[in-house]
Amino acid sequence: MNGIESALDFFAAMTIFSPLALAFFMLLAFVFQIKLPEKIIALVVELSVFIALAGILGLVSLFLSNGVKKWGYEPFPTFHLESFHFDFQFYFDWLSLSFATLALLLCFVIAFFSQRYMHREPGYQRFFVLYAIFVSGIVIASLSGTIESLFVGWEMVGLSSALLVAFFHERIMPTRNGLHLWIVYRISDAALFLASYLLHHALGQGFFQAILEQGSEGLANEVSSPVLVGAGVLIFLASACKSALFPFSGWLPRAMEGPTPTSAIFYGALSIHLGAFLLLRLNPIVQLSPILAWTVVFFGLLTALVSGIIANAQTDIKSILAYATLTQVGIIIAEIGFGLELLPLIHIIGHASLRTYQFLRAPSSFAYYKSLEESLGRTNLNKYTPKGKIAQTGPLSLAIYSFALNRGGMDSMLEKFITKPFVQMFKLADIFEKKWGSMLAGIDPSKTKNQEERS
Amino acid sequence: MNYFFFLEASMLICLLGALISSLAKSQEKIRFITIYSSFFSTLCAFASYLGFYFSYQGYITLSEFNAPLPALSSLLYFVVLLCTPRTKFIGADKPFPSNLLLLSQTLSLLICSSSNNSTLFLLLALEPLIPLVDLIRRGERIQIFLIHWVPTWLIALTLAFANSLPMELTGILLSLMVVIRMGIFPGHTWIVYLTEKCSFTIALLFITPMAPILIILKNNQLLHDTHASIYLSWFAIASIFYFAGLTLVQRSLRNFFTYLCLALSGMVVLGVCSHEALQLTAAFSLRNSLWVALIGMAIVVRALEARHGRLSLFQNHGFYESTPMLGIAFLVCGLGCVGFPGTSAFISFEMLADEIIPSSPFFGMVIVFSEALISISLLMVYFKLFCGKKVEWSDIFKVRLREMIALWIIIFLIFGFRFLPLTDIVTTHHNLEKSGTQHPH
Repeated sequence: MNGIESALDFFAAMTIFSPLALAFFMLLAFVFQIKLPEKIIALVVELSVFIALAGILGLVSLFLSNGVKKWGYEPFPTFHLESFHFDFQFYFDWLSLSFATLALLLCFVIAFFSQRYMHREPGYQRFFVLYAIFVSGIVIASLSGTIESLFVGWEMVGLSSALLVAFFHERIMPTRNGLHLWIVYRISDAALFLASYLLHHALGQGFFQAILEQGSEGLANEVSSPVLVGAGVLIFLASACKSALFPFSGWLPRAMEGPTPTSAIFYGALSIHLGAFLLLRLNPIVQLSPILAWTVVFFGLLTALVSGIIANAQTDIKSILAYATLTQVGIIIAEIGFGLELLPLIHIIGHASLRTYQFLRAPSSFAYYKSLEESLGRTNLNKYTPKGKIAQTGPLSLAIYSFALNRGGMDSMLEKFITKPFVQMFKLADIFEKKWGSMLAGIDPSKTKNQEERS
Repeated sequence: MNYFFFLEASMLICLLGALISSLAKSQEKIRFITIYSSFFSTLCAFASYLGFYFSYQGYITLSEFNAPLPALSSLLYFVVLLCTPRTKFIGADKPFPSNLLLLSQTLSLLICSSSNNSTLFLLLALEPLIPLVDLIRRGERIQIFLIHWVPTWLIALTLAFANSLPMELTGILLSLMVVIRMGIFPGHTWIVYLTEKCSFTIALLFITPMAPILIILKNNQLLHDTHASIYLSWFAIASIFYFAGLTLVQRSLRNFFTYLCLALSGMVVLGVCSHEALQLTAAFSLRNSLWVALIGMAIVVRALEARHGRLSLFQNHGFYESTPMLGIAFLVCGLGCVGFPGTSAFISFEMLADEIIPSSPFFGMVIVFSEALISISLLMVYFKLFCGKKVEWSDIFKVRLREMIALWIIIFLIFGFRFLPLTDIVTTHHNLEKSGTQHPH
């Protein structure tokens, strides 16, 4: 192994293990109920994210200075047992490096912001435990070289996101919204799990490098290309759930229940783009079938259109930003569907940075508006504020407005046609179970019912 | 001194403990005897495991499946007894079944270390007598228990003593026994009744080990040859989906726990219905991981019930602020149950799904979907129990040191179980292959 290779491995280890060590340390303290002082937590978090950031910047500089195009890093030996293998590998190329740099840079900013924003919050330590899991998850997901390691990162991001939405857990609404997010994310996880199996079945392994090197033309020649298209559909479903595409958009405004730093970094900047990143990473599979590619374009544009309309009718700053974010994500997904690679990446980086700034400024928007008003004067400011024209428009505009105000009715539609019948079916089964059990036990069912009602 | 001495000593200590605790009059003494008998039995079981490990040659094991099982079983019994609140022993309305628990520990040790088919059938038939005695002691009805268990006892005795049964009949009888003992749909009603009416400690130690898995593994070839495994796998898949769905709509915490156990048991049974060594390995490893995770979850459920009585899932309780340790343990054990990355069940679950999908994509999809349902219901119950309400702190909420130690042991096992020697998947695989070649029938 020459010097450059050793340096690449060293920087790769710095990038990956620093957030993992942070997560381990925070979890350990949490499980052993050791209450760490705020200053220690802030120091450890900033230090570890800084080390990871330094690692990724070191890798970027080595790539640029030595003309390295790609690099694989395997920290653990592959687990092989007969036909089963679990490859936990990392793959560095222009896409993974760009996304991981963006992720770590934003996480570093948020670490600084959060230590002041969350100051004296009772759940300060819990917040940073979840933050550490999220950072580890996003680093693993963005740098993963196989579908298995991506799945690990994907799940870590999902769990930490759901628990962060429910961060203010003494109120009931954050927990409901956290659960809603978790349900959508679990559908996404299930789809990715099945996709990972199909990829293994079709290609014999789940290495991204092999998929990227073959390209869509090479993959089309594979005997198992129909299976690959099936994997592509599942990957798109996983991405659609993670990136809140139509009709799964309902979780995004709900996710704003969490603390502002998490809304900014997770739902506004990173988590929401993770689905787009997955599609971009596995674009050769998406492009394998023109129908699938056009489906991606269609859902991307539909999401952009619907979110654009909904954003105009929202009444709180976080919801407006959430739907504005979604509009751009829809366009990014459409770009990926068109087979573009560089443009969606630039779009992701620019958009994520802008939204992080906007979300972080959201809580102080009133103060910002007030200072603007004081500087410009009320009359001058009114020139720049939108005029209310709803009352003057016709029934079509009102219908669109109503549609936007109800957020497209997506949540109620999913609840009416999927969730409710499903839950109702099991409620009936439960009633039957209770009656059957009482009958076999020789207990009067009405007595059991009365006892339950009393409890 | 070989490792068998320690193994026998661990069983003897439990038996003696059960006998002395039955004769003791003072409740404080009973508590002392129960906990220390379990502790010394665990020490002996570990000594036997270490003795085995250091004299370890090749892949020949204590039983032909896995050497650490008696030690693991003892440890889990000890952990459960360790964190049993003092109030359960002293001053409770209904006497705590200490002697029954020690007897149950002895039986569990025997089952884990038994290598003979007939002995296993007899032990599996003896095991349910413990919850039955507890039900009688508590003055509960035993009708539902007898409806299920009288035929099962007959089957177990037939299988243990009849040598010249036709193969097909043996396969059917064995499947029937497994369906009832594991609570596979539709033979599950008695388990729901048991967890509601029996002492929760007895019930959880009876359900979570999924003891019949050992007998399925030993008779895997027979089940395969008679096609009984096909019928069993269809019942198992129905169970997984049905019980996973039922966890979503439960209104009582105890029922939720029962259906969670039943859904996960179905997953393990489905795994062992195969003849492939890889799938068997995945199922057996999954069973060991789930055993630990379910015991951990049961400890949390019991700790909450000890403080607040039976808990309904109608409303939010907001226990997190008062008992954060229980919240963390519930979440960790829940994640351990669904094979979240990093937990010991992760690779086993991945391997199981990976093996099942090629033979039956439908089964594979149901497993993945049911696992998603279970994880949704777990987080839902976590939110119901620990979030959504502000509760004023009181001294009764305080998690005692012994409970903390018990939960730390469980959390360590959930994350580090795979790193213990001989619990490794590769070794389990070799053991199963070896036992498969040595004992085809």
